[in-house]
Amino acid sequence: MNDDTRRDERIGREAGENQTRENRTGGNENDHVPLLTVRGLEKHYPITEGLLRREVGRVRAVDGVDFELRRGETLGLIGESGCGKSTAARSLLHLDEPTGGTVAFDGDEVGEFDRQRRRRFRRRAQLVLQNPTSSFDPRLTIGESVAEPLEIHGMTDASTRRAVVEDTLERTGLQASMADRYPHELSGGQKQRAALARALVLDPDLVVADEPVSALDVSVQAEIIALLRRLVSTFELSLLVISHDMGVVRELCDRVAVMYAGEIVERGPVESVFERPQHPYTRALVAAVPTPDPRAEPRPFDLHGDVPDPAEFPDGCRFHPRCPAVIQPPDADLQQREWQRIVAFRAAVDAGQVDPEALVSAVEVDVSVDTDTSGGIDASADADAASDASSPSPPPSATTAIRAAYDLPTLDDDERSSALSTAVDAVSSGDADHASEILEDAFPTVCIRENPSLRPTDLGHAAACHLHGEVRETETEAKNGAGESGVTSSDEA
Amino acid sequence: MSDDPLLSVSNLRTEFSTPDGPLVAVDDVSFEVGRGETVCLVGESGSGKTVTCESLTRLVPESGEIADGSVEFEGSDLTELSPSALRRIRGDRIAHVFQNPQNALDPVYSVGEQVAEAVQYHREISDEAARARARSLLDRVGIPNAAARLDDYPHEFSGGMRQRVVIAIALASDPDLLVADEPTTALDVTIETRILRLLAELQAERDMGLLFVTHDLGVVAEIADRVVVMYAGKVMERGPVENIFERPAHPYTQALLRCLPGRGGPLEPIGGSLPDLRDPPAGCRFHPRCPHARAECKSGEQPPLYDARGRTQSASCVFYDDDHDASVVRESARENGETSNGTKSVADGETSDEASDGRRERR
Repeated sequence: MNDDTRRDERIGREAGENQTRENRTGGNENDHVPLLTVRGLEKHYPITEGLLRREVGRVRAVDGVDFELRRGETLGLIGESGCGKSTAARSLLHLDEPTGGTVAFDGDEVGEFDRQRRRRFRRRAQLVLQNPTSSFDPRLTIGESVAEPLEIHGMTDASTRRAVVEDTLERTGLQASMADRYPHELSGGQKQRAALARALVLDPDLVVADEPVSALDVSVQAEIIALLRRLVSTFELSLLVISHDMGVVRELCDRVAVMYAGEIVERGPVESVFERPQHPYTRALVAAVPTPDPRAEPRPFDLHGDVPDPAEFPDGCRFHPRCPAVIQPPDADLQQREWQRIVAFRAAVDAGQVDPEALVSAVEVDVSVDTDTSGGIDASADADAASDASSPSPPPSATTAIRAAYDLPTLDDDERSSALSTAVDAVSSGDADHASEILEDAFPTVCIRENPSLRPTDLGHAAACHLHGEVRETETEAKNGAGESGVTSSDEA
Repeated sequence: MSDDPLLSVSNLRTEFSTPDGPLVAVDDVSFEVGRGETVCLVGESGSGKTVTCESLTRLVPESGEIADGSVEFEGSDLTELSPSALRRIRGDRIAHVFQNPQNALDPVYSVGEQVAEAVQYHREISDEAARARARSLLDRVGIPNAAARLDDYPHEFSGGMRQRVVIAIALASDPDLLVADEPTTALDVTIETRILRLLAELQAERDMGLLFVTHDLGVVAEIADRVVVMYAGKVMERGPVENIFERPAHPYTQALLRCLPGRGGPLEPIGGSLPDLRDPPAGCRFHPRCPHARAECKSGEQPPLYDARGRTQSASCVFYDDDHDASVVRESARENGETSNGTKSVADGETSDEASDGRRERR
């Protein structure tokens, strides 16, 4: 409570403060109420068209996110760019009003706050941004910038402000005299310290740091990470770190949530999630991190494609078009790699992305260029030829082009083989819908049918993957032991 | 490596004129890149990595000039070439990828046109063939659905995708040497890994030399054959990648490795800050931050590169000359290699220099 008292003395008590303080006391004494509880958080942006701004679609940047953050705890939110991490941070702080879900702070719903309580929430929950250079006004001294929040929140006495600012600067490892410097006189690391000082000057309970160190050199990163750790333990701060750098999250966080396509796909203690990732996406992310050991074996890495467009997510599990472990139809016995290519093709057909004409023009010359690895200069001869009859093979038909572009396999299973051919024919004649139906009948999979929800795995931490469904639990275990992604489902009963 | 390296930089010195007097951004830098070899330039910002790359084909900004040294590329000195001869080499035999993709693409041409143009700059082939090659290149750098995106304009691509396009353009000419300055720093690890794998593949196919600038030591461990560590415009250490990571010789390299997050051991910031290049410290430029610094480190010139471990690994540190006991810094290096499993050998207990004692207390 010392912190609270000190802050209240500084900032002057606003009406209704007592009520909030009671809540805080409750939070302190009773660990069952997390500082922050996010339930079903949604941020959708409408895509409108025409004068009447008719809604024709929705960008589902954040699409049902749940997590909790306890007092003094550090949670990492990771994922590739475009997965919705930063939008989630902004909307949980209500800097962008969320379009769905609830955010409870100390047990009270932020969405229902009146102006005054919203203002208090702003004081207790702070955001630190990635780029310390653009977050400071170049015309203000560091001291003026750090003092600004105090002024806004009613500390009128300039000399008190100055004292608080100097104190805060020192706590972030800067000299008090830095208060008189201008942003351009500071190094990147010093600016990031000053940015933290500005966030901490109001004694917040929650700090959301969006890529707090990614703009900094490794040596400076290490300093800021050490500082953040110290601040968390000294002030019982709750810290939400948004980062694409798994090394940083591992170093800094107690727990981690992995986001993909607007959803959380895995969540748990840092050690558990990074050492034994249960979602194929997390597994791929972890495998992608370079290890600082030149003698390490090359990591198996087979994640292709990009994060899907948030305006048109794939059906079912949003990761299925890229998933190395996507589940096969119950009675199928396909090579997993072949099966993956069929799934990727199915996703492209469903999304209407297969353009036979473009593929024909691209694929034919590809053959002459790609087989020529010696430098390709002599491709000039057959390059002209590529578009006419003297090329080694006649220009391919649309079906050949599609098969080549998606690297579609020839299947042993006659029934499925002919279904695939019929689907390719349908796409090449422009009937993608029909192709979709054929593929759905011939290659059904739970991964496209249903979007899995986040549920506990055998390890205790939660993952959203059909591999961890009730039916599959025992089977999955065996497979995880056997290999990273080698999941076949021929033995599914 | 063959006796005759693809690129040989000797005693390179690049100066900038500033209102406060001359600034030597790159000072007496020498290294080589062989065919099919990957050399990583590492160091913090301000160490002179980028200016070194720009100096190779004289791309340094107006206020800078190459004051001394030579850049031998397949037998000819690039610092002596006429601008037109240099232009023929740049973008054709030597391709550059810079960190910021925003300025590298022309906003008024489609992405396909720009890649195809780069293809045709190098080879006389039809527009159709160039377009197909463009698609194949974009495909390989990981642009999804590349065929359909050829006619899109740069503004329709995300930053990460634009950087991939820039890499495709650099590869379009089948360069002998690719100079890549933090090409993947702004990208997600998943894309980064794909690009690094692609570069390795192309290197194997075409025996391409790769000079790769990065501050990410994880990436260095993944791709480098040899490493050049720079600090404040000077080369601190050079050597094979395994040695640099397992037996770093220079105290700066050792300090840099201890900053790596996710390595298992405790993080140890270097402390202090980079010197002002307009007024660099005398002696070794790292001495103000070096735990081993002695009187002889604080005066005179930066020490020459002494053999630190055989002839392949050399360090610019006085402890490696004949008059000093190199084990003082070397023991510390070995201890560094063992921090991850937390064990300490008896030999470490014998070293009494203040640095390793200090580290022990902190642990």
